[in-house]
Amino acid sequence: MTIQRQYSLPNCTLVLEGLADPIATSQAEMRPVMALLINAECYLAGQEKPLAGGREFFESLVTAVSLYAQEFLSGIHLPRHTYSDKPSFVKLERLDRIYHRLTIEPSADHTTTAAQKVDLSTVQLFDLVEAIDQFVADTQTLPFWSLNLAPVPKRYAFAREPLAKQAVPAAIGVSGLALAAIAFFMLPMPKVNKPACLAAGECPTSAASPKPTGSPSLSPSVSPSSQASASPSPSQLAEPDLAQLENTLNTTPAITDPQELDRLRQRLYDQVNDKWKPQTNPTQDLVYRVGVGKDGAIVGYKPESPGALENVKQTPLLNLLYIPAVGSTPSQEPIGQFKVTFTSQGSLEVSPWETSSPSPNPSASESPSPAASATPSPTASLSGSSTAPAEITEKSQLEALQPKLYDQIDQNWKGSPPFNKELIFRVRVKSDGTIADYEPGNAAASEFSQSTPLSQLGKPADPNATPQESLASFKVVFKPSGVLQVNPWFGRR
Amino acid sequence: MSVSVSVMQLNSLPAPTIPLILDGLPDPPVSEGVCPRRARLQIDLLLLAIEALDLGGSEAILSTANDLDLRGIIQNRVVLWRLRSTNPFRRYSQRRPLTLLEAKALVVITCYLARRLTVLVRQLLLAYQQLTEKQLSTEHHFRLSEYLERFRAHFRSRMNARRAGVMAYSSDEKLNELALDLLAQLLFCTGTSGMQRLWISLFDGEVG
Repeated sequence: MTIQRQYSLPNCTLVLEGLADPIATSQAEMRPVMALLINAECYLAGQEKPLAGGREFFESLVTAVSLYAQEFLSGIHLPRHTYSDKPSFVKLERLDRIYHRLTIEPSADHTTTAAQKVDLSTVQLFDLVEAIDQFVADTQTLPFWSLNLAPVPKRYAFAREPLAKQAVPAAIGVSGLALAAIAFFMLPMPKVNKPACLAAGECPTSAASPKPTGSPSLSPSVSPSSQASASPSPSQLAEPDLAQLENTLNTTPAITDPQELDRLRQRLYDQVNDKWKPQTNPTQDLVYRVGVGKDGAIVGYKPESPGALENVKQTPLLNLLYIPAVGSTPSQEPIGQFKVTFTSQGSLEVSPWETSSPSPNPSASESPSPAASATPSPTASLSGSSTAPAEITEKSQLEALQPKLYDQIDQNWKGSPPFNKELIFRVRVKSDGTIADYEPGNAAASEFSQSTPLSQLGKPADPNATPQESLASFKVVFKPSGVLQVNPWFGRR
Repeated sequence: MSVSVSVMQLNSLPAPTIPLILDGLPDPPVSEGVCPRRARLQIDLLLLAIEALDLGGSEAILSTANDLDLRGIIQNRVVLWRLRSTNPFRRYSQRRPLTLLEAKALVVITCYLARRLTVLVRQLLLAYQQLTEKQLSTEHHFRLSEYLERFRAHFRSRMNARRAGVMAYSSDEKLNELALDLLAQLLFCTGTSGMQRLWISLFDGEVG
């Protein structure tokens, strides 16, 4: 006996046709159980023809819609392939704040031969989800179907703020990098090993012993493309020229659209994760800055942690690298930059690259840093590290570091405070926001320093050591009530 | 003799029962059985959106707790405030954990209130869609702009503006986007399985 079931919502009607279970059906039952699905039709508002197909199509539709609904709520994307090995004909992706695109690939089970694309508004999407949920909740229709909701496992997820909003500060970071890239570019190419002190603003202005050249700096007088085409073609070597890769990162324009960056990050993660064999755990965390083209291809990378250069063969980056054809000039299409970390625990982390250097402030032009000045031999100022770097006192930098420090301590401060007096610390922070060291400022602080997150986040200050880089000092106060205060040690200027 | 009597009394105390309504929500395998950061943040923000939609929202949260027999978990206004203040963005963020049971109670209340507001939520989302198609600002729809304005005011008065996460929402535009995202998420909470979907989504990326 054929039965038809219909689930109607304002923007979506789901019609299922199937066979009744001949054994379970008794005459007395008003609504027989549908045990076998023959055909499914999904009428969407604004579409002349329904989406229609058999069991495989419907399974694919239900799975895709259900997973997407969860992604919509959590903002965390689950790569499809990790969920099921069954072929999927249905795909959903977000277009913007309002629209979502439903794509149905043709299949043997599906009535149309061409791929169908339907753009659904959020309300229409919800009606589709609700029609499916009503079907699943209906115990008289295909009772063996269930929702099987489960959280996305950590290893497949990308840590991010809810609602994908963290992409906003990340985008600011990337545009900051684009500015810094102009500064990198002025230097003789192959000599750049670790540009720790080259970006404008990252360098303490007093310690840089600047030779005030006449050039007001930071105006990119050389066009990036001329330099890029002059460098050797990378494809002749099995191991690409590192300087070239670095150059790619520094000279190409950055992708700043948060949604685009987010999409690329997911793609990069999937790409690298697929190829990385976890049994080859590195002995230490390997950090790379990786540039990704709009199509998801890896166009350049740059080792950023000690050991990352030597151990690059342990990572799949070399194999995944897109090598342009011989003789072609490196493309100038915009790239997204990401921080890729292969941890010694064997896990992979991918996050948007955020430069530690804040965007150049007006004072940079008064005393040009070595990177910004066009002097041909910047070595003199680079080697002048015998004097201790100056304290970071720049207001904009302190303002950028303060919330970073606050969040770090705040997120790691757990449990109710065991002390009944306030604890005062002087905490020194590197220019990237990580805690360098701390120093108790009162007796209670030295007594209870182990009860604060500082003991895990940093080390006690060594008064005899000269800091290797310029640091910013903050006064951090832990109050017994659980209140945390973070202020610049030398006050605001 | 007297000892055994006192033991008897102890045993006869009624064990705290878990309200039936929370049975539909499974315990996800999270460490220490407490809610991750994102879950604490998300629950509080959804409730904040409800308060911006409905002037009597904060009263409704408490009365719904009563109606749904959740008074064992949310005894009064102060307890409710403490639970919501586990949101790390809060100005007076609490350093106590949010247990799964407490989170379930808040999720159930959120979904019940969202369901009551279904018509309004749909109207506002459709209005936003129409305004966007005509390239008009949200100010052209009285009810929508009222919601956004109230949400911004609630957010700014209760969240700690010194936190990096909160700073990302310093502009009116960013807060409006957050409010609209939350509105759409509230719509998904109104569905047949909305409660389960919301609950499970809170643990995305947090389980082993």
